[in-house]
Amino acid sequence: MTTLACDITLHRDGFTLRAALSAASETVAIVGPNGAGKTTLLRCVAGLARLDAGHVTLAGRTLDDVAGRVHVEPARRGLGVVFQDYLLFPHRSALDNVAYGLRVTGTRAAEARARARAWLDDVGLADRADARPGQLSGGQAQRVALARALATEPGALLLDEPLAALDVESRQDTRRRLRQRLRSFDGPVLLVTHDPVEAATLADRLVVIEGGTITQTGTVDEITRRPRSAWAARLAGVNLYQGHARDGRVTLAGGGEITVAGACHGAVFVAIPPAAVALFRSRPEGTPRNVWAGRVDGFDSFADRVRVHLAGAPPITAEITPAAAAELDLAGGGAVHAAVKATEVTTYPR
Amino acid sequence: MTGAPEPRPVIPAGVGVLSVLAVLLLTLPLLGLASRTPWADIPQLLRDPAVLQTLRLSLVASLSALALSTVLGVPLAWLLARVEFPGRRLVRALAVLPMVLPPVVGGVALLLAFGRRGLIGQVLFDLTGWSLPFTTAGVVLAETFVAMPFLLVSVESGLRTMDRRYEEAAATLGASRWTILRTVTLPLTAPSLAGGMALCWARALGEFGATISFAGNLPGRTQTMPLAVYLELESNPPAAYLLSFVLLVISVAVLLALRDRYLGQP
Repeated sequence: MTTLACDITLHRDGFTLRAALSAASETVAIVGPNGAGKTTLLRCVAGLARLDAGHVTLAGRTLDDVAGRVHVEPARRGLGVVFQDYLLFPHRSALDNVAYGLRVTGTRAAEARARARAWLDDVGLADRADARPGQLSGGQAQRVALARALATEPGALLLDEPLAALDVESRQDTRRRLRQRLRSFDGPVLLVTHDPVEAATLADRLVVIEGGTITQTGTVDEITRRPRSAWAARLAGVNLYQGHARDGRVTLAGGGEITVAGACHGAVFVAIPPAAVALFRSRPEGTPRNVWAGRVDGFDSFADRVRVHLAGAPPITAEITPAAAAELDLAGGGAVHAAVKATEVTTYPR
Repeated sequence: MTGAPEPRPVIPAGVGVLSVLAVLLLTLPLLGLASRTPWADIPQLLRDPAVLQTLRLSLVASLSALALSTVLGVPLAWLLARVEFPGRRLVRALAVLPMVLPPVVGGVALLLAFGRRGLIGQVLFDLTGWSLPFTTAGVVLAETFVAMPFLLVSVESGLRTMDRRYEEAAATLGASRWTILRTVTLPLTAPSLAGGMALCWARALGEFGATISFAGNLPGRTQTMPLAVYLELESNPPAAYLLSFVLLVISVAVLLALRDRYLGQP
């Protein structure tokens, strides 16, 4: 089985990337906020950025080994890369773009063009072979870029935000096609994305990077069930806190205290779904719940619900019905009380 | 972007007057030249062996200067655009200095370097008995000295503004550095190269000061068109007008070839 493995340390302008991961014949999405180091990680694997320490191997072959002074040029890594804005050569037709990798590695023109034609056919663009990149739609350009990367029959595929440049309509169709294509690719695929939907639909496994370090890995299900970072919490749509638990009470790192139902001790994450948060104008009486005072910091209205952001200890986002929101007179701002049942709070060790 | 047309700007009175003066200043001489060109004599003048010789020499020398500038200038432009090395700014400044240097001074400097008693010229003469001044090769050298910076500046800026990630894409597809240069870098910077070459050639063709002070004015060997124009102005003005007109036509042709760069604004 082909395995891509890397352990990368890189310092650039005060930013440090430290990440180790491996991928077998599966699609691994590298996710996280902008500026987290996702693209840099991909560039290291592709050989376009030099590591300061660590190594990269593909199917047992060393591509980078800083200690052993090994650095294989990007041209000799046998990796297929699809860049964020595709970078199709503007002066070549779609066919010649796809044939490029074969031509520069010594395949005869006629054979290279025949194989390129087959790859274009494979992505459903046989009829656009003679089009210049400027004449292709965004989705078509993406498919040509994918065919160009696949035509060299790479050992692994690296995709940098493959759908970010597309508009909403073509994104769905292109994502579906990409998903099918990645299924039939026999090798590791690293997919950089900041879009949780893309990660969830295309990848078998997620690697969350924030601030240059990996904060969590796992399937979408595992990550949304037990988020361990701000990004993962947003993906899961929960309020996430870190704290210290003792005797059914958790003292939160950012201030505040939460009573929880289960037994737990030590350093924990506390997750509270917004829908489990109730809001009141005046302090509710006689309920064995977590209740604390806060101030409305802002809110987002959707068709059937309103997300209310509360400043307090701890700050929290509540999801309530428009009717409840109207009763609370949110626009007036001011003090409200948040209430959360202990049984609605999830805790898990840090 | 917006549907509404932009309101017509109000032209301050002074700006309008001065602009008209500027246009007159720039175009009246051309009109004068065109009006005095002896059209009827063209066939006869173009059969004149002396004129043909000058024309041929001008073309050979300027095209040779263009070739030399391209062969030497493109690699230097690449180096200046892509490689950090100590003294890069100094090298760039020196390389484009001829653009602002009075050409006559350039000619004198060339004489002091490549002349028979020059810095390198003396060694060359002692070794081979050959020296550059007053030869066609000297003309080529003088024209290259003055014209190459135009090509250099254009190509370097083309290389700088090019999106280098295309080169990275080519690399990930297995292309060697040389292949990338040939199949990606040069094609993507072709407009800058073509523009630089056209400017360089036009400048070489029109070169006067450096040529006359370094290579002299020998008919058939170093007398190019601008030099002939200058001489004929004394002895045979109609011939000077005609040769000038030929040079003007060539300049217009170069400008048309570069229209996307300089005439591209609406």
